[in-house]
Amino acid sequence: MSRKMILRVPKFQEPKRMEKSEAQRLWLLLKDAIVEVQHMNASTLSFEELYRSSYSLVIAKRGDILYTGLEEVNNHHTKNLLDKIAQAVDERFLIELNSQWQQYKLQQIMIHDILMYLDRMYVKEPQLKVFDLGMFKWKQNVLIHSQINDRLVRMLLGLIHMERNGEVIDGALMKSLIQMYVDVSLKEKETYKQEFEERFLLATSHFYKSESNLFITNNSCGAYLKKVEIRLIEEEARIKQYLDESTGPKLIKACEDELIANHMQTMIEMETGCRTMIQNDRFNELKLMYRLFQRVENGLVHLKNEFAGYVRNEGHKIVNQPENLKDPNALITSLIEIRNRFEKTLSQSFANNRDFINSVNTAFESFLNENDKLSESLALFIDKKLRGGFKDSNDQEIDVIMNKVILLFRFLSDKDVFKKFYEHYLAKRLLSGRSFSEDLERTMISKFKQECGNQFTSKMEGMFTDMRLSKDALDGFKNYLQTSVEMGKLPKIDMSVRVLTQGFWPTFPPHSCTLPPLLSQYCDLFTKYYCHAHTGRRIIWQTNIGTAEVTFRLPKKTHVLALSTYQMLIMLLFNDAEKLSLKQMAAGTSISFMDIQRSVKPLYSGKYKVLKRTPAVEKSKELSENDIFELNLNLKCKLHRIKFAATSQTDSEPERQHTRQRVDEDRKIEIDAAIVRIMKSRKALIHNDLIVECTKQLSSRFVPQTSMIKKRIENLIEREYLERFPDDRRRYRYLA
Amino acid sequence: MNEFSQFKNQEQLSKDIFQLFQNGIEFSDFKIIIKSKKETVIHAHKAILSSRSEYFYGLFRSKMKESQEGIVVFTDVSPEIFKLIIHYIYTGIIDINLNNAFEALISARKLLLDSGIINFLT
Repeated sequence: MSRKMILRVPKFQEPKRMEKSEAQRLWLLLKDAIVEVQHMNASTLSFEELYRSSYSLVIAKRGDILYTGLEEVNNHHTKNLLDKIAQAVDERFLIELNSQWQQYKLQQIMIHDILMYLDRMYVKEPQLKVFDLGMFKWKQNVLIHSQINDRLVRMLLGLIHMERNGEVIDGALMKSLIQMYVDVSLKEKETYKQEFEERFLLATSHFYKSESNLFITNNSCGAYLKKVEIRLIEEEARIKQYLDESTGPKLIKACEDELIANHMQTMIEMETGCRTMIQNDRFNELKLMYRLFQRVENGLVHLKNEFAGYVRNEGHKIVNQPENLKDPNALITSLIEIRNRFEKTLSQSFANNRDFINSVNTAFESFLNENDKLSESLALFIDKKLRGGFKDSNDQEIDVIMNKVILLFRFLSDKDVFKKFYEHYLAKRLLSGRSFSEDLERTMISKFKQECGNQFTSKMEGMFTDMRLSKDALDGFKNYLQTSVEMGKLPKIDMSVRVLTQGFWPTFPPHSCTLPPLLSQYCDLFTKYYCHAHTGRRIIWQTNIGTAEVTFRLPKKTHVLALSTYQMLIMLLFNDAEKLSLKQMAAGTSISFMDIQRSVKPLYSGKYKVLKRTPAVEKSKELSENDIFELNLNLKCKLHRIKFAATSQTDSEPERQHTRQRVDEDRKIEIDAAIVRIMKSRKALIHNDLIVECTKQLSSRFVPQTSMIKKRIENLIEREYLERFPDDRRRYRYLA
Repeated sequence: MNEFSQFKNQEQLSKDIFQLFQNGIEFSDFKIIIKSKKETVIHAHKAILSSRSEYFYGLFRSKMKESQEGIVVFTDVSPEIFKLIIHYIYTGIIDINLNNAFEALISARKLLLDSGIINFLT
């Protein structure tokens, strides 16, 4: 009903001016009543009468008499109360003060109710409202009086101190007295802050400073952390129980400063501190430390740096341990182990905090690349697994290991080196038929693909394709042989050939040798067959990576020897000779002397010796050209088929060197391509910018050396892809 | 039904609360006596009075004679005017005319009713 109503109201009539004596009478009536209220005798008074008296004074414009009168009465009353309270002995002091205060507050409410009309219609700023006036008088005459204030604060802080030391105090009394400081504050709790809070916070800092210093010197870090946590919980409870809530954040900050921030360095360094906890996988203690450090500024940075430092250090030890350097399998296994261990710490103690994870990863990156053998070790580790190491693991376990391999791989800066080694070992596995499962091979490769894209795995996939096509080609060849005319003239041997596409497979160092005529004929037949089926292709025979089975007839027994092609050639020589020197072997087979050395060694120095050195010499002695060997006709072996290693070492230094060299060759091409790509789009560029840009582009595959980039730039200038600016030698221009 | 729909029926509320008043002594816990030429007794309810008028709120809170005895005596208002006021207290509705508006204002001010009614009457 907001309908505007127009009323003609008779002009407001001023009430008749009140006689002074009448006003005085009304005030005295009110004064007596207020005094009665102050003596807690209000129940017989008439509210209506008192209210009407104050109302009449106000509408008669005599509010001033009332207001000044009230001020005086309050003043007088509070001064009386002060004497009464100040006299109380210490044991009674707080109780007396509190009971007087509680009564006073009730009285003030009552006085406010009676004088409500005055409060509403008369009191104007800056005058205090009736209730506030009462509070102000209490504050002025009682609370901040020198006989009360210090004594009160001292006793309150004393009680809090006692409570912190484990004694039980009267929380309700505390709450009432502390709340008094808030109640008498006119704005923004200023009295509470000035008179109580400031001193309370100071006392708190003081208390915890000495407690923490003492506790941490006499206890373990773990015990200290637990103590801190309990203290913080207690202080939270204290806020709820009797402090004003506005003190909460300040109190907690003061505690955190004294208990945590001031001791962070100690907690990290002390004997039982952070370092030991990390070392001994004390997940719960670390978790607590994380939670507490999190509360203070820069706390987690300290903890994170300490943890990352430890990770780097442990990793450094592992990658430099002499045993690990010799045993790639042990090296990678240890790395996976510590990775698992730190992941556990991260998840159990550090809430998988992103910053922590990142700094651990950075640490891994740094120590994994300390050692340039890591790429190869990782490739060897997988090689071992894929040759059968996975035999006893279930799918899930295999997946976990593969993912860990990928994780380590991710940290490698020279991914191209790893790739070369991986391809090298994959080729060996495939060619020697030692791969445990094609499915697992493909799973592993698909993980690399996911990580690095198609380009990274295209060659590896090509190898698998070749293996499949070779099988088809071989079947075709066998059919061909059955129908071929030439076949009738030749003795039958079981020959298997693998056709490897150049480019997919690692280039094996070219070695030549003379095959026995029969084999040679078969090879020619295959070449003829294959080139007929695939015109335009050329076959290069890589005899050095082949294998052969040879029948070895002893007087009483026959064995089958599984040998490398070279070893077969050497053994075949003994069909026509009793004794041969290494030099003669080399001559008879056209194999290099070094390869002869390496191939012969397993034949005379392994568990089963088919050759013997004459005259017998110590094993360790280096072989020389003129050492003479003969067949060991006394070979004692229960096995029918005896397998020999192809060379004396799993992988010899030259071969490794060779792989490295190939990586360098590939890098040159990659760098050239990157430079040309950059220059093509930028047209002109300053030397340093080109280096930076080039490094950036290649960083996902390897970290190029600046000197190498420089050389490639020079090379490209020679080949007239780039030129220097005539006036500024440090700038290059792209020549289209 | 829409999640945020609202149903309002303040008219019915006014009516029902006023019915409470008209039922007189039933549920009443407080008496108001208007003393002019004759005495008028009004049966009222502390809950309603204290929530609608600060005067009554203070009167009940102070636990003085009136709240102890359950009676207040007014001598400065006529029964007619007070009935307008009590109607407003119970219903939020007041009907006035040129003759009674001024007196109603004085009474409303004394009882510290809401500022809406004071402004309307001023």
